[in-house]
Amino acid sequence: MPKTILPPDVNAASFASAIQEFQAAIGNEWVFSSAEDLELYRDQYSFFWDTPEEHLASAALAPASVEEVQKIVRIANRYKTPLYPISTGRNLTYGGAAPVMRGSIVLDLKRMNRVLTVDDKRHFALVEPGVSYFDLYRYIQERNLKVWIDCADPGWGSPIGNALDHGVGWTTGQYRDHFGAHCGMEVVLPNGELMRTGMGAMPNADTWQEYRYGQGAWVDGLFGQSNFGIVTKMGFWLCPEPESFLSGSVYFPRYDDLQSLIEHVDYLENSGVIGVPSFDSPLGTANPGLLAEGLTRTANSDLSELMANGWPSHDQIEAYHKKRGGPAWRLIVRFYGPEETVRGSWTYVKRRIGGSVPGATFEDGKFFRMPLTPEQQAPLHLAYFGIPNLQVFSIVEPEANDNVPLDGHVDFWATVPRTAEGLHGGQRVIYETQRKLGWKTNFNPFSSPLMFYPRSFNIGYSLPSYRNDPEGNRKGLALYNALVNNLAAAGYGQYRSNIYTQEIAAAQYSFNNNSLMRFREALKDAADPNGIVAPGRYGLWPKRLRATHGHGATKKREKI
Amino acid sequence: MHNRRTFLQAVAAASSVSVSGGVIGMWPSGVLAATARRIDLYKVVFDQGHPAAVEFGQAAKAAGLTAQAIGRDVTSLWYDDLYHRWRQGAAAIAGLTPARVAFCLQVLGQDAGLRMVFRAQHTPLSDGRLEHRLTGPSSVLERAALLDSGAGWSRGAAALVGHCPAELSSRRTLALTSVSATGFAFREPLVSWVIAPASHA
Repeated sequence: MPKTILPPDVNAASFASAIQEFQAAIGNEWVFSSAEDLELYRDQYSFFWDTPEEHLASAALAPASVEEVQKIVRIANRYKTPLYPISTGRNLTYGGAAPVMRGSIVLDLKRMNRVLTVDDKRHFALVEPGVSYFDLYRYIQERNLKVWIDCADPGWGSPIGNALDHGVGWTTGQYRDHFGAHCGMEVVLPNGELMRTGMGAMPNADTWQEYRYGQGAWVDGLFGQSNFGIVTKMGFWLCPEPESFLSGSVYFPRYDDLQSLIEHVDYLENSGVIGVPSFDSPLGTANPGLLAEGLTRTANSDLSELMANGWPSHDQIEAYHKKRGGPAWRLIVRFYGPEETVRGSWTYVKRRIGGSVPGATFEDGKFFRMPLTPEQQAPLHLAYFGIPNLQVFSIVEPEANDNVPLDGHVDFWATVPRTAEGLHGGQRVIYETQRKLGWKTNFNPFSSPLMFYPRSFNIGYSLPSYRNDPEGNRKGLALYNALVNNLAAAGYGQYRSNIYTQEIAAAQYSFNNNSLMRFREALKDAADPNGIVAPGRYGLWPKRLRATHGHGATKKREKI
Repeated sequence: MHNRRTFLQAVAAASSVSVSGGVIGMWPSGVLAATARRIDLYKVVFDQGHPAAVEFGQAAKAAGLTAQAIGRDVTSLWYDDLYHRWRQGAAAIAGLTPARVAFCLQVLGQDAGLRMVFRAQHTPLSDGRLEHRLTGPSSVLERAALLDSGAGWSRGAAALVGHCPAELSSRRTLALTSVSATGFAFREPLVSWVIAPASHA
């Protein structure tokens, strides 16, 4: 761990004074500045581990209440010490507890960990930032409340932190989008003032977690992937515990059935017939999101040969399929609800797809009545049932390049249209970028997406990171940057980004001379004139730091 | 639960001597030299799918430690067991597991004021030997150096974690190589480790 660093534009004496005031405000024991303590706020998967580029905190503060957060913010304004709020700091592949800007003071909200309300008649929860998915699930189970959460994978993260980073889950469309399923916020603004959004702005209203808009301009979106305030409470809509679960598989015989498969999925999901769908191809390599269901990788020499000399032509794909045989695609549909409904829905899916896709075949899947017994839970991917878990660490194995054991991974998820053309277009960009930079690739015409968001596809990739291989990290960051640029050139963006790559990712949204970013900057300058809340988060810098930390600085890093 | 500073300041006083001094395997006497104070291990866990880890667990059990076989998913271990134990106060654990299992437990333990105070990564080399990269207190590493023999390192690792001293000296690193990687072959490195109250670090 390098020696203590300081925030930009803050000298040692001023920093020491700020620390003293923080100690007076929240107690000495909750102000962390020793090297040992700050180890907890490092990015465990960093591309820049132990280098001068590593995004290290200068200190960390752990308030216990909203009032303490307000005190901290007011002190930070006086000293211009930047604060980087985290909830549980467990989004490891996106930076964990480390700040976007080196030298920021991490505002660790883990001690604010109260589940304030879970209503299983009106189906919502109100929580503080330090509550994890495990905490919320445990609260519900201990009280035998009949609601499900939709949890991220792994489940040690925070519903608030995950939602604010636009994280996603695994059940039905209206709950998988975690920010989309929130209802009402409480925010400490950059000047220390407390604000509630939606119906929370009306004193005595009992609809804060039921009606999200209140009246007038709805501002909640400003606090996601951003730095306009510190969210101290947030409401979430919960799913009533379904009576049962049913899954089924549909096999599509032809490679060219893909567009038909996607259109069926869109219809079924957007009309509420199915929960989270997924698909893959028996002809390709496994979809990492489906490994928990027992699907093993099916890489084969024919596929390697097919992909050896560039993205194959349609004729080559058809010839490969003919040689390998079997169906081209497998769609898995999942139903949540009363037994009569889920069985009826499965019957409908068979009729709908069977009537329009010649040769489609169907396979009944699992049926469970809720709640699941521990024995039933054991072999399942529990996130599909709203049960937080750490299974992902035992299932998905990010592959290191050249078989070098990796220490972490940095995830990359591109958002592409829900069309066959969009899916293959994005996959092809990744495949060609990897090959050009000398990486092996598992992307091929049979690769499948994950459907976290109900209206788009996500195609992803985990880049390895190392503690003792700077060259490996340099290659990884170079690939990441190239992927961002090349995908953006084709019109594909990312749904979230790592702390090291938010700047370059944000720069891709450049329509009309970056009008979106310029609008955000105008808001930032008005709401946070001292620039103390999370400078640089998702590319948004306060005025005083734009020249030294904005896109120009990132361009410099890109060339490393 | 989240009184990290409390742990930082006070946990040293909580350590106690409870680990059996039973002989584990055929090791130089220096390996098992009595230490004045050892970390009081609440539990030792080992990966049930790997021979080296199973042997480690057996050795730990023979030494009087509470040893539990686990799979690669630590959800239940944490949710049903460690969560409740750690709410009562920081309690040290040790194990021989795949690296990512150790990492998960390390991260979960941080909220209870625990840190990884000893870590030895065991990596099979292409020539059949086994490389050990250790980070931990000097006294443990000095004993580890005596383990460098042809005998199974898994039992030696059990001796090391079972005799990890409570008064930890400054941490340092050490690289060793032993002649046989039998039982350690795996697609990711196996790690022996001790996660203990932070004041030990």
